Amino acid sequence: MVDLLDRIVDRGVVVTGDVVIALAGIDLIRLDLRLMLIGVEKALAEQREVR
Amino acid sequence: MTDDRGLYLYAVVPADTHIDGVPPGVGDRQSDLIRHEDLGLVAHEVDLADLARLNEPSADPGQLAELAQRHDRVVRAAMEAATAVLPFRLGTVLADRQSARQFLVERWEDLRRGLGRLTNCEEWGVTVRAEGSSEPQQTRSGSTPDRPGTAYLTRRRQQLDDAESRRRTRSARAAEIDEALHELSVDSAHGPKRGVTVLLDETYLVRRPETSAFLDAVDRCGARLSGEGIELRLTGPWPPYSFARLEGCPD
Repeated sequence: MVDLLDRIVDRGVVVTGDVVIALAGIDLIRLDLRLMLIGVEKALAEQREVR
Repeated sequence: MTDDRGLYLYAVVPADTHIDGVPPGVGDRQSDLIRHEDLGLVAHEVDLADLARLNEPSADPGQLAELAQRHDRVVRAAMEAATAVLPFRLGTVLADRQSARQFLVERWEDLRRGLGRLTNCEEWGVTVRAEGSSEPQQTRSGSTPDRPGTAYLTRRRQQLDDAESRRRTRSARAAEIDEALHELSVDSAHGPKRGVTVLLDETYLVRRPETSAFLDAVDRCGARLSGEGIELRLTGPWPPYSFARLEGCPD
């Protein structure tokens, strides 16, 4: 999951302009940060499990 | 067009791609292809309320992870079904199908070019890191401590030289690996290099026919590193997320 989040967040074609729904239900910057935080949390949780 | 719905975009693919086998995506919806000329957009409707929930501070982090997984699953399946795939960024939502077609028409050339660059390509992530501590090892001094201060300084300098020498060797190894893999790939992109022990964090765009040559090279590089306190990690194949670019004026 950490690999996936690292790979997918903040990559891919960015579409801007009127065609994009302004809020689209997703604040992309906040989404990126949250996905990264999840990545870190999960990585830490996985480490704890291994121990 | 209803106000509470949007069109979730996954990727651009050639218009003749068969996407019937693509698994359900966000909100369990089935994607279809919005076509114009020789291009198609893999997309489906989405309830904005579902996505809006993700934005709340109280939102379950698992839901965001779920979104990422579903998104990747669809993009991956599109990649399997098509000769080329140009992924959109996670969370790209247009107003409706009409807007999507309009977008496709207006940006057709740029999209075509962006897609063409990725024909038959996947990406692979390679990280190389120094194992364990980078602290200099204790070196023993055979001389008697007549002059303990000097002995200490001499020993200390030795340790620092050793550490520096190790650092240079590791750097050189990482550069060798990068060069070897670069030769077998179409393009490469730097990663964020998180962590002090990371020597290389790179993503390589590899043409499918060259995959086994690329992976053989990775194996060789990895084998050469054993015993040197350096480890190589490979992830992939991935859809070409890191090389998805759209040139031309954004608006």
